[in-house]
Amino acid sequence: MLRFRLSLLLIFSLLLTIVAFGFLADSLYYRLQLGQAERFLERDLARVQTLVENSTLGTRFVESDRADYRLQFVSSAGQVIIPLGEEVLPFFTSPSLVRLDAQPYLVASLPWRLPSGNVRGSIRLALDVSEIWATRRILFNSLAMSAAVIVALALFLSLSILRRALTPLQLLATKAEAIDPAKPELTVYDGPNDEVATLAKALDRTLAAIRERQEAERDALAEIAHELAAPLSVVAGQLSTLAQEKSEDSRFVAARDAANELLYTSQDLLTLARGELEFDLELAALDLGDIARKVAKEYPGVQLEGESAEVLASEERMTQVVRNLVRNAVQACGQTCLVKIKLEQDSQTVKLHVIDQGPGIDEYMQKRIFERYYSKKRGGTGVGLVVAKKLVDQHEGSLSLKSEPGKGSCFTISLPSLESYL
Amino acid sequence: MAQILIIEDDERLASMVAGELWQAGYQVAHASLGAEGLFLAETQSFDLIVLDLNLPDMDGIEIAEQLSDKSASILMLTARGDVESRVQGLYAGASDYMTKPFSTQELLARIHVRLRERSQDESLCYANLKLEEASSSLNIQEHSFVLPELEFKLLKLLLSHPNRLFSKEALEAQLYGGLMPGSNTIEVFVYNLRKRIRDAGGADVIKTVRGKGYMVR
Repeated sequence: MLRFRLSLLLIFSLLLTIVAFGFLADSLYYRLQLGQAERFLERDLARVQTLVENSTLGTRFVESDRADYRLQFVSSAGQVIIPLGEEVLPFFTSPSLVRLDAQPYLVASLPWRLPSGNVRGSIRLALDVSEIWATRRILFNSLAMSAAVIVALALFLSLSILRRALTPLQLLATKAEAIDPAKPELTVYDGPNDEVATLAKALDRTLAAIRERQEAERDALAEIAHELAAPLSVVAGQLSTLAQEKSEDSRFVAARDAANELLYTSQDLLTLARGELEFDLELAALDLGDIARKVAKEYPGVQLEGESAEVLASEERMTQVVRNLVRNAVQACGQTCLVKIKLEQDSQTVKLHVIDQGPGIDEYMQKRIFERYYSKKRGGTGVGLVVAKKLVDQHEGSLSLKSEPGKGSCFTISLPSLESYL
Repeated sequence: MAQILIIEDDERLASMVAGELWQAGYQVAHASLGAEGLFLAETQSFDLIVLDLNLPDMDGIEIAEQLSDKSASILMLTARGDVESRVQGLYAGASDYMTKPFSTQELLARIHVRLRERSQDESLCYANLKLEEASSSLNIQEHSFVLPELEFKLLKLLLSHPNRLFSKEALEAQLYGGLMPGSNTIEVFVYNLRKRIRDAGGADVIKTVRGKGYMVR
């Protein structure tokens, strides 16, 4: 998640800053304290040397002055003269850090001159600086502790701030997710004019381009449809006249049936291609029984049960639906006499069943039969049932299927009755 | 003998339809251009005009508008996908439409229905209501009222397409063009019309279709 990644990045850079800062503070403090200690050491050593050169007050003065001092008078041979028996301090001309008995000491030396002016050996002075080290540790600990607190606080704050800052992005994502690929509407984004707004604009431009493309394709299809529509009507019309005149010649009848098939299939395809499903229907009060009678007449042999049932529908579209169902049923069982249209009505709902005694549809296909371009007929596009389903949905009704392999199928159109609207 | 004019630029389609209509016993004239069709409609009287929406020289809607003051019913042929143009056609005076490709039997059936409706009465009648265009008056039995312009327009639209649903938006757009008035104007008009009709003992023909609009039946 972006929020956590950004927060981690922030914490990491914060931590880095704290460490660098702490390191700097530590080394500054250390150098300052140590420098001061060195100056003390050098001054005291010089004082001791002066005292030793001029009188005999000597060591006692120095010892009582500072408890954390260790003063030694060492002979030229390297033996501790005062205080006797102590281990000799190392010799350094300038203050240097050494570890004695596991404690840090600053050690420095000066020549031990007798009042006579002869050099007797060296005065060595060691200053216990363990206090500086202890303070340094405390400093380090408090730095670490405050770093931990700062990091925890920053984590909490950055997460909640980032959540607010990223809300527009989340909003945009939700909107982008909701875009219908068939009808890409532009997103409405009204956040501040930042990177997210840039993204929204880019998205809008892409969507506009897609829409433009879709519209161009639709226009092209409508153009093609226009070119095909007139010749198709002529072929179907003329063949139907010919078949009527020469009904004894089965070739004309077959040609007419095929031409009608072509006509109806192209109506289905054009319904999809012209995007008609996206427009409002022109509704009128009409009798579903009239439509059923009209379609039954187109497929002689199909039985009809039920008289009339009024609905609010588009005559053209509902005819297309009923015709598609009957056509499908006739194709499924190969004989019109095995197909029945049954009309049922109560005060709220009108139902039109198309029942066939064909081979039936297995469960797997039942689930997919209304999906676009899925067909049990090899080579068929199955577009008729897809269009039927969409058209019924558009009428605020439902199209359902009950089928049992070996016994037959029953497609049911359920529509709100006209009465339910008045 | 009903007279029919076909305005259609596709010669094959026109001649087939003309042939079928001639077979069915109608007198048929054909024009392949809009201007030609308008000229024919001007010089002769027709009972019904089959009008193609897509003509090479003129827009079909425009022709329908120009023809609407003639007494002929108009049946539109369209290959256009958008319902918009059909709805426009209906408002422009067409009484029906068919989408190409169509089956000739269906076209003939529609033409028969339209002509039968016409032959019943020349003026606009529904139940015991009678609308007179010339005096913009509504006659119910012995009562007669002159209607305000917009109420007359509304009632005429509804009565000339019985059983057809009109949404409130569509009616507003038709009555006022693009300029939308207050939101409940149509409701007020319908209320007034219903009251007039009821008071004169007319049939309650303007129905409210719940959540959708109005229709006459």
